[in-house]
Amino acid sequence: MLTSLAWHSLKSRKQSVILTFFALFISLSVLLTVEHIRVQAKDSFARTINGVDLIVGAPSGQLNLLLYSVFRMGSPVNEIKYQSFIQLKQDPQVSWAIPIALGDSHKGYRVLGTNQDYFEYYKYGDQQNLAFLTGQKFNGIFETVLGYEVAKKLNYQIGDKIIIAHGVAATGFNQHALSPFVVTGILAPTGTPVDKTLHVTLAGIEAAHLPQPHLKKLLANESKINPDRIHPDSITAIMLGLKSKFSTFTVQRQLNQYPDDRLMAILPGVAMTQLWQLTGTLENLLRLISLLVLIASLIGLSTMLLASMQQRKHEINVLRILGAGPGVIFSLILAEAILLMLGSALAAIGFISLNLIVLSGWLSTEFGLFISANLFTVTTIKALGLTVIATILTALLPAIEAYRSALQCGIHSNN
Amino acid sequence: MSAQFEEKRSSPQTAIDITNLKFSYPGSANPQLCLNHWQVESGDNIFLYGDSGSGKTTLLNLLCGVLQPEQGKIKLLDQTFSNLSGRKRDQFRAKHIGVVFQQFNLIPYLTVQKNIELAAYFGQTSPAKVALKMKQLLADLNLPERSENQRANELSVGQQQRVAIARALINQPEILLVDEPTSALDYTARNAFIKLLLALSEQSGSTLIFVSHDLSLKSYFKSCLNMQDLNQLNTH
Repeated sequence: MLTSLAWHSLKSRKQSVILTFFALFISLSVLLTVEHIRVQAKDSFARTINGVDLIVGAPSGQLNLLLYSVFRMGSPVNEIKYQSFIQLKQDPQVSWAIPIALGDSHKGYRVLGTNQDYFEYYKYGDQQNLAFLTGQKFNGIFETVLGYEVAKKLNYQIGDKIIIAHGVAATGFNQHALSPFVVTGILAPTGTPVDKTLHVTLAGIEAAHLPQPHLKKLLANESKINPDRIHPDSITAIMLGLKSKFSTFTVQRQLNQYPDDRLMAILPGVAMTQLWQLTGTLENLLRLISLLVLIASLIGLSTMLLASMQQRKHEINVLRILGAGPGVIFSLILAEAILLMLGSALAAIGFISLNLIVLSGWLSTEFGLFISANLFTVTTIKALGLTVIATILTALLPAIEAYRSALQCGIHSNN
Repeated sequence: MSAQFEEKRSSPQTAIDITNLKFSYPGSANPQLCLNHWQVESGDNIFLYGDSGSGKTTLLNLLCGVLQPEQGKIKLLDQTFSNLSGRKRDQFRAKHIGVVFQQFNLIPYLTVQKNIELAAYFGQTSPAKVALKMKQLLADLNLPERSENQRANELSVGQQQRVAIARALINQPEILLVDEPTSALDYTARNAFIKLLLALSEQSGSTLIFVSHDLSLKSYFKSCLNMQDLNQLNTH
């Protein structure tokens, strides 16, 4: 009965209630978006790589190396010798090594040159291996395995032929048109940058870059050539798995002082922490701003309720005469505030979810962010809980005002 | 008219019993009301008149428990009302006292039906009973049936006052307190209103205290009291 009364009371003050609703809706949308994306972005980044002990690349910043080798963001400043990869692979402390050669693209998606070990040792999420949706690993020089999103967005199937371009622009003019790659497999979705990657052999990358006469010769004799014998002189990075985790720092030190090549080894976890530290300040700033916006709109709510108090004097009087105690009047005002806040929260959740569903493709291609549209995470529920408490606190002022008015009411003769 | 209205109830003999009552508004040095003894029999209807400031309204507020006496005792329906806690007084009022005031009797944005149901909710009358009784009351008060679903602020002042009677009687209160209900009505509407009020009050067996300064209404009531006589403040 009281909830219904609060609802009708809100309805009777449509204009100010709708404005307050929008103020709350906007501020809650900002708050929930910031909280949700903050946590999801971390999750999304953290689950991209798992089980890799060290990433080796040319010396630059460790964040830079992490971003271009794992997240396909930015470009490598320098390359490392292919010979270093061979030597590392044979190192007794190393369990496995995956070579990574970047630099080409196909319609805006990055092409990754690697070998078959990639499908065996690369892990993401909770130690999950890459799985094939259809098809299998590449074998020949001009074969490619597509990430889930590449195949889905560009509508490729097994057996399709793809031409890769030099560079990473969506419309590279320097196309390796003579040497199309055949799709042999499509990977299952992972929710990581792997979904947006075309995987080819190192031999394929090297061959595609050969001068035209050499390439024609090679194409003519393709079946007779062992793909392992063609390799580039340099690659972009190496992902390493070690036999013992305890040797991680030793190996890292050895690699940083490697005599035959200029190398830098990083621990993905440490680099990730550096990334969080970097984004942490910005994150906190965003949270602070969204909090202030929320507080401003809650003050608006309180103002709206206080302003209605004059108009409510008669109503409060009627309710008191009907036998409602001052406590009932007090909770009625609180109920109105909470109703309004919950309504706005529901609208905000719906709005954000809808946006995330619509924008998820764009977020993943542009920023490598895989954000779930499910808003009911611990963080957002916590944020909502705090908002309810804040709403009650700000509604206390008008509620106390109503309580006082309730105590002073009675029959007032005007004569 | 209906079985429910004629329902016999074991109502106490005395509806109102006031002894040695004294009241002054907080912060004011002069007492507002001083009443040695006043007793109203159950089922009586009393016309209480007097000038402004004679204490009529104060008396009504004391009777419905919104104000607390400084001294003395108010017994309603053989219960010492003035000793009860605020919450108990609110409950007692919801169940046993119906109030109609000069204006603004209804919650403007609620329908007539909701307004009446709200009174029943606080008076803890069962919803099944309410539906039937509301129909009868509205019919008896010459309110069209469709007005049930009209918002209170869509009704004319006269209609609003009649809904206020229905609202005040829905819990079949033993005591009905009415304060200047006709001051916003014209002459013919006023007479019709009073006749209806008296008839319905009698039907539900309520004790009626009717406060007004309009002496021409006096003839409708069984007994008639001047507030100046009741309030012994001036005789001291």
